[in-house]
Amino acid sequence: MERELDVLLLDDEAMVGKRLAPALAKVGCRVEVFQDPRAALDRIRAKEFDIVVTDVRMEGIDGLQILQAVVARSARTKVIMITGYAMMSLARQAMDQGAFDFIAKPFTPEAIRVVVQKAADALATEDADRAVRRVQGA
Amino acid sequence: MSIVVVSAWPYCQGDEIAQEVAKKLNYRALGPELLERVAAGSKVSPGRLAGALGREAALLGPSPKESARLLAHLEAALLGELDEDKAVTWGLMAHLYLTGVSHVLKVRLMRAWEDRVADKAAGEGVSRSVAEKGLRRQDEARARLAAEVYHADESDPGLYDLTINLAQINPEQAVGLVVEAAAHKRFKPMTFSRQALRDKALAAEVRAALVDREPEAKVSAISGLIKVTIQAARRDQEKKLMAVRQAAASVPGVGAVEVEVIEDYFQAAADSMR
Repeated sequence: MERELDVLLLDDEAMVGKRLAPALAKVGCRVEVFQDPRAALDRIRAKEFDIVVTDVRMEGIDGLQILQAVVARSARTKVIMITGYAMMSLARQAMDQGAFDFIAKPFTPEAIRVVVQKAADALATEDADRAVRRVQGA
Repeated sequence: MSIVVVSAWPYCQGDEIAQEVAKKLNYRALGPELLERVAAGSKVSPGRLAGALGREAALLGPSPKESARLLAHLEAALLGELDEDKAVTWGLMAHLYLTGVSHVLKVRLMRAWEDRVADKAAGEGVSRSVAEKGLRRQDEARARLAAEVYHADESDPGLYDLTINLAQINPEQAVGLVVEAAAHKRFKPMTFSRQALRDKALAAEVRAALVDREPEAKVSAISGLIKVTIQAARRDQEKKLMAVRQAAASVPGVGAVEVEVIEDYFQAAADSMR
């Protein structure tokens, strides 16, 4: 990746963070890992991340609520949903609410790297477009 | 970039609308020309296959077993073409087997019976009563196919994402509606839906490879792992299990194969009476 990306990774299973964080760090991501969705929500409110990877089914606050909070805070942030309970209706709902991608568990670290790279490419394109529009507007 | 499935009974302008949607979206068009390829591979006439799908009036359609066999090959052929999104398909009953993939937009076109009959009569140069009889036969063939092979009722609105009544909305407007719906983010492909489509395509390939030997086999796939469920009398189970495993494993892209054999009690009872 061209520059380091700020990634928030939220999953209530500790193993997911342990596996994915190093895999994403290898490709130039600065990863903050959370198991508690409330703590993750506080962090999302405090900081704009480039990418948020979130589980869907969690105690108390689910991934769709996290998605809504991220979208409300920043239209730029790409949200990648991960779930062991993938269903078509849930996938469509997530996309409808602005998710960038939706992945069923189990997946390999390589699979998530591919999706994060796509998100990074989309961010780079959008950032470049925004810069051009700013210059044209000036 | 979604996949659009247009479902329309005969003389509901399905062909014209689907082709126009493909043109407007700049998507590939995968229509009934696929039947010729499937028919050639299955050694049946394209007309017989078209009759099985209700596209042509046939006095004597294929048996349910033959229909299931033909459809297995048709499914494999179509799903094999859909590894890229950006396609419109019609005339191939895909709304019945392209299920559970979130970036597939399924559209149903409906038209008044009298208009359909009038078009058939004019198009084929027959009387109204002949046209009506023929159209009823075609509709019944389709309904039978959906019920026997897919245990589905085509009139169930739950099968579709968008239903358009051409008695109220003209074809040009219908094309506009479909094009607009196809662009909606709900129908955007994602990693999960692309994998679901790959799994369906692989399962369809395996099923087509097995259908002649095991017409009742059920096949599912998850990321290259295949599960086949067959029925067999106890004395045949071991032999069938080996044969099915070998046939399934020979399909490109298949990783591991799990075969579940359910005892065929009817066959066992029949054998015991010999």
